[in-house]
Amino acid sequence: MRGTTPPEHAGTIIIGGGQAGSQTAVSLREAGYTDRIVLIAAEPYLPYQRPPLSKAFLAGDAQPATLALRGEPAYARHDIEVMVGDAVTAIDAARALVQRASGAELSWDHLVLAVGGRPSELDVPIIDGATGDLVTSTSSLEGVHLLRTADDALALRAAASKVSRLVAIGGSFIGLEVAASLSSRGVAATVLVRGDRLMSRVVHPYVADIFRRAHLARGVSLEFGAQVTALVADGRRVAAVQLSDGRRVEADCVVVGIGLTADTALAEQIGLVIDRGILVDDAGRTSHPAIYAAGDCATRLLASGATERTESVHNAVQQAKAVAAAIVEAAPPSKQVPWFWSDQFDLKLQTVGDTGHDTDTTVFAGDTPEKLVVEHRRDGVLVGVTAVSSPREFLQYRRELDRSHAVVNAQA
Amino acid sequence: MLSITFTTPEGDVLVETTMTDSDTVMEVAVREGVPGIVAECGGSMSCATCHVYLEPQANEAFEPKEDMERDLIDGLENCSALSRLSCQLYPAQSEGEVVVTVPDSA
Ligand SMILES: Cc1cc2nc3c(=O)[nH]c(=O)nc-3n(C[C@H](O)[C@H](O)[C@H](O)COP(=O)(O)OP(=O)(O)OC[C@H]3O[C@@H](n4cnc5c(N)ncnc54)[C@H](O)[C@@H]3O)c2cc1C
Ligand code: FES
Repeated sequence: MRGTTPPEHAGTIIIGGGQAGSQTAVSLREAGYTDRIVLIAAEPYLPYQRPPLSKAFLAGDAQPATLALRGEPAYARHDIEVMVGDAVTAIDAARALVQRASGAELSWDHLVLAVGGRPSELDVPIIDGATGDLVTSTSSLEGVHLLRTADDALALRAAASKVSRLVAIGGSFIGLEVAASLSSRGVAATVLVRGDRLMSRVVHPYVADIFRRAHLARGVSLEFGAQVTALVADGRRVAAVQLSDGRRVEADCVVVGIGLTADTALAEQIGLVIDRGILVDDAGRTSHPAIYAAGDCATRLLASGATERTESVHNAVQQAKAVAAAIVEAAPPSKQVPWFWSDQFDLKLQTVGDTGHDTDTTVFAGDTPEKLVVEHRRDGVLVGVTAVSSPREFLQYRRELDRSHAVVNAQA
Repeated sequence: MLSITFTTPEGDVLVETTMTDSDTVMEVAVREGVPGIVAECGGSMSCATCHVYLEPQANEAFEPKEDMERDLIDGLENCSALSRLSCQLYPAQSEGEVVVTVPDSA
C-alpha cells in the first residue's frame, strides 16, 4: 500500500453502503459535520432497503432502484460521495488508509465499518437421488438460494417463475416471508422448521401459533422437527431435502434462511476485538479509538457486561446515529427501545423491547383471530410488546416504552 | 407533473420538486432527502415515521385514507385532522401544486 503521491483524504470514510452506512453519512451532516464524507459500497446499487427483498419485492416485479434508501439528490444535497460498485479490500490502521478494489487508496480521520454480514450456508452433504452416492462438487448444485442482496432476490424471483416446489429451510422470518411471497406467485411452498414452533427464538408461543395457522390456511406446508442432513441432487439440480428422521421433501428450489454471520474480515485483519461481530460500546466505538462499527456487523457491549448483536433496520439506524454523534462529539441521541417487524401474507408482526420467553405475558385478543397484542412484563414492569396486525396499538406501546426507558436512563 | 413543496411547520421551504403518478410522497421525500421523513419501514405501514400534514385542498390531490392508515395515524402523538402517512400518498391527479408540511422531528 505505497503510492508515490499522497493518497486522497476524507474526514470520514464509511465502508459498506447499507442501512447503517447510509444513515451514518446523513446523520453526520445533520449533526453539522463539514469534512469530506466518502461512502464505499461494494454492491452496484445506492444503499437500499433489505426488508422488501423477502416481502413485496419478491412477490412483485419492481426494480432494485425502487428500493433505494435515499436518492442521488439526497446524497448531493448532503455532499456525501457514494462510490458504488467499489469495495475496501484492506485497511492500514497505523497509516489510516483504506485500499479500494478499484486501486486507489484513501486516508481518513474517522473510519466506520458498516459492512453487514453474510447469510449462513447450509453445511450438509449432497447425495445423488438415483444412486444415493455422495456428490463431491457442491458448488454447482442448481436451485439452491441464499437471500441477502437485491441480486439474490432478482435471481430467486426469476427462478420462481420456473419452479413448482419451493422449500425454505429455516422457520424464522426469512423462510416464512419467502414462503408467503412466493406462494402468492403460485409456487407450492414448504417451510422446514428445526424445532416445534415458528420463529421460536423471538416470538411468544401463542403468537407463533397464530402464524402457524395462518400459513397453513394460506396453503404453505410446514414441517416441524426438521433436521436437514443432506440435499438430494438430480443431475446438477436440487431435487429434494433429506431430513434426519427419514422424511424427504421434494423441491426444485431451496432457499436457505438459517441466519447471518457478521462480516468481520476487515476488522480481524487489523486486530479489532471481535465477539460474533465487531465489539463496540454504546457510541459505536471499536477497540481502535478512530474506528467505529454499526449495524448487523456490530456487537454491542452492554453495561451488564453481556453482549448483543441485533439484525434489524431500527438497530442499524440507531447505531449509525450514535456513531455520527460520537464523531462530531455531540451528546448521544436519545435511546429508543429496539423494534422489529415482519410481514407474512396479510399478517403484520411487530415486536418491541424484551419479548423473551421468560417474561410474564398478558394476551389481549383483537377483533379477529389474526389480531392480538401481548404485553411482556418483568417484576410487574412492562418491558416489551408483541403485536399481530395491530399497528396502532403497537405504536402507542412503543411510545410508552420509549418514555419509560428515557426515565430509567435519566435516573441511571 | 405534480409540483410538490416540503415545508417546516413554520412554512420554511425544505425541498421543492416534482412527482410522477407512480411515486408516493414518501418516495419523493426519501429520494430528495427531506429531513424529518424517515420512512423506516419503507412504506409497509409499520412505523409512521413518514407522517406529514396536508391542508384539505392538497389532500384532494391524493388517494384518500384507508383503514390501516387511519388506524396508524390515531396512534401518533402529534396527529391532527390534517395528518397523513406520506407512504400512502399516491397522486390522484397529475397536475397542480401541493404543499406538504413535515412535522418537527423529536
Ligand atoms: C431478506 C431480508 C429481510 C429483512 N427484513 C427485515 C424486517 O422486516 N425488519 C427489519 O427490521 N429488518 C429486516 N432485515 C434486516 C435488515 O435489513 C438489516 O438488519 C439491515 O439491512 C442491516 O444494515 P447494515 O447496514 O448493517 O448491513 P447491510 O444492509 O447488509 O449493508 C452492508 C453493506 O456493506 C457492503 N460491504 C461489505 N463489505 C464491504 C467492503 N469491504 N467494501 C465495501 N462495501 C462492503 C455490503 O455489500 C452491503 O451492501 C431483513 C434482512 C433481509 C436480508
Ligand atoms: S414508511 Fe413506515 S409507515 Fe410509512
